[in-house]
Amino acid sequence: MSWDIEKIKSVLPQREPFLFVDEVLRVDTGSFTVEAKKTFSPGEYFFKGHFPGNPIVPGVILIEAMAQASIILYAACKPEIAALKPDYYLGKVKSEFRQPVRPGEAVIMEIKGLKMVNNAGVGQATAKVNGSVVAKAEFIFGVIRKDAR
Amino acid sequence: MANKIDDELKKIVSTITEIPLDTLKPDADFFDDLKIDSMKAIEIVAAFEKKYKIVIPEEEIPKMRSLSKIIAFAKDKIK
Repeated sequence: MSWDIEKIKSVLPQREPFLFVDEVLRVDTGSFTVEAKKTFSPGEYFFKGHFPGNPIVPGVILIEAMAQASIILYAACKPEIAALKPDYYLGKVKSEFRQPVRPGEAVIMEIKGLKMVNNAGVGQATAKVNGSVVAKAEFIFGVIRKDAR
Repeated sequence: MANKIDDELKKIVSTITEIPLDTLKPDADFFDDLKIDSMKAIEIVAAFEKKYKIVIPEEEIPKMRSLSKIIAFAKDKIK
């Protein structure tokens, strides 16, 4: 089952220009996996400075995109928690970058959940462009309900 | 097998918590004694599950407050 941008926005608190998931291609709560897509248009705000004349998607933006896709996986696996609109925050990231991502390229992110509990999630992400791996990451993120702050 | 599990789990906990192997006491409470936060605790649980291909029910996680308790759980599940 795919998700459109409105459904994505119903889960993710981020908004443009810091929303880095355009479409959710597949959600499988049985195997704890999500496949999501982000196309980095040439007009993205960071290309102007990163780098002048040689635009590349910053690695931290790729991490953020994969983290946002991880939140979508969490919300699909824990809908009763996501419905409470909790705060999500990154606890730890281990990442590697294989190839640069250029303007106009579509990044397909596959997130595999390793553990999803009421107050946290652990996941592994792989980002690809045209079938080639551009980045990988492992995430641990916390989930805090607003009434528990 | 039992000692192998002990050693493997001790290494997992030591790596994640950055507490040297020779100072990691089996009965030290993760939260009260070692000051491990909830993020590291869930990281330990996820690493444990991945290593032994078992699932720890969410309600069991709060009971695993020390290395010795994780080892006891592992020995009960991995027979």
